[in-house]
Amino acid sequence: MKISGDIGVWVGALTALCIYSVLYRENPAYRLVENIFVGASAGIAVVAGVQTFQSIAWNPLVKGNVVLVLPIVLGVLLYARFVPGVSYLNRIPLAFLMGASAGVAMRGSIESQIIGQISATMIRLDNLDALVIFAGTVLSLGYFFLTYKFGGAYTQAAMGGRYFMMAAFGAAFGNTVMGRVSAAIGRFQFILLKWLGLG
Amino acid sequence: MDIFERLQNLDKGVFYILMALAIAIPTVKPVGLPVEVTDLVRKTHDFVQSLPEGSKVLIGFDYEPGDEIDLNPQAIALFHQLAARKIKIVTIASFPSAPLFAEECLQVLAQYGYKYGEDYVDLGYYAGGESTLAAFGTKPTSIFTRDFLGNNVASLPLMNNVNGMKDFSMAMTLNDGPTNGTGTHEWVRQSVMAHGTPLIMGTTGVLAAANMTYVQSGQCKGILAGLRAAAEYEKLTGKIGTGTVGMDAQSMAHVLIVLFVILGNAAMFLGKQKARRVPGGGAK
Repeated sequence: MKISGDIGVWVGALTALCIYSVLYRENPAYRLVENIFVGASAGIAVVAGVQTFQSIAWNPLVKGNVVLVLPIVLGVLLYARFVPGVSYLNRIPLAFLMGASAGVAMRGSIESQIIGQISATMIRLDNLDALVIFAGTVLSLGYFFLTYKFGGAYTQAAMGGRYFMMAAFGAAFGNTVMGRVSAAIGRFQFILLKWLGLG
Repeated sequence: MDIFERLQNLDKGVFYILMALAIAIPTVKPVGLPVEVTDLVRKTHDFVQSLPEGSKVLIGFDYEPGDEIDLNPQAIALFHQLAARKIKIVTIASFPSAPLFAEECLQVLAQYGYKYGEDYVDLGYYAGGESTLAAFGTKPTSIFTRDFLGNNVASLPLMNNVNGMKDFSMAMTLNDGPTNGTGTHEWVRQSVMAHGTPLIMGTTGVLAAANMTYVQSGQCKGILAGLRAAAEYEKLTGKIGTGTVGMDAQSMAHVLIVLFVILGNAAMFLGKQKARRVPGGGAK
């Protein structure tokens, strides 16, 4: 056992223990660290925002790239909502942001998330994997045909789609559990190996 | 109170303690459970291995503290493979705290004689998610004028040969989800669809199922999912790290969870059956 002499490691370990203390019950140590975390996160975000503004807007502007005045003004207008009387002005940059974001996303989303995914299900049905993909896609889509109630065999098929989806949800939940366990392992490794020097 | 009711009403503190022990004991005293390499991880490894020596890759650090246990080991294992093939590395980050992870992971390159600015660059954080990544794809210097260390990007030899996404032989996102940062869907759109740059993903376990479709459709060349994939990748590269160390603990924790799920359900069904057998009883 060789306890770390690094103050950063000590802070990290003690704050982790404070957070874990909530598993026993709500307590002041947990609340203190929780509030520090929120405050530190907000502080980091502000610093990162200022640095971004400096590097891609302000510095090029003062070097003569005057066209950047336009996005800077639009950015300032976002805060107009806090000024009674001119709060409507913040709709201009918001509209611009929404339009630009939609445009950027549209560039590839139709092909990547619609055409690409559909064509991936149009495969040779010569192995079990392909059959499962084909049946899972068709039956799951069938489950969401809600405009007309067919009944009979169609209802049974739709139920099959429901089971496929349940299997998918189960896999997603299993992955989620695995992710949460991994997070705990990370903290345990930090506390036991890096802080306490065990192992 | 019979055993079925006791199991149904087990204090959650008992589970927490057992879970802590299941993770702590193998962390301190690793058992050395075998790690089998799955096809998906091998496919990802083989794709990276097929990249031309000396080419450049872009790695996006798109995660926050809490997910580094899944994604740092993936990045480190990948960097070992890239460095062994003399492939140059550029990192960017869509979360303010993520460049610190990049810094931590990039340290492994020192053992391969990599020089900062010539063989690898950490460009740091960018705000704006997909829109900014799109702009980076066409003109990186419009987004990054200074790197994470404060150097002028134009003065870095590696960046002189990078004019856009198309100059990278591969892009990779290490991703924990789309909240605030750049998500996996955005990476597919801005690297594969916009520039034809092959993409691989390293994701947390939570994200794996949702993104597997990109691999099946061929839009993504590979995916590493969670700590287990990191351990498998470490096995393939021969550089054992925290991924492998964590697998013993993860296996133990999973055994405990499965055991409790089975016990809980068995107690519920057996408890119901018992209640039905009691005159006047029934499912509660």
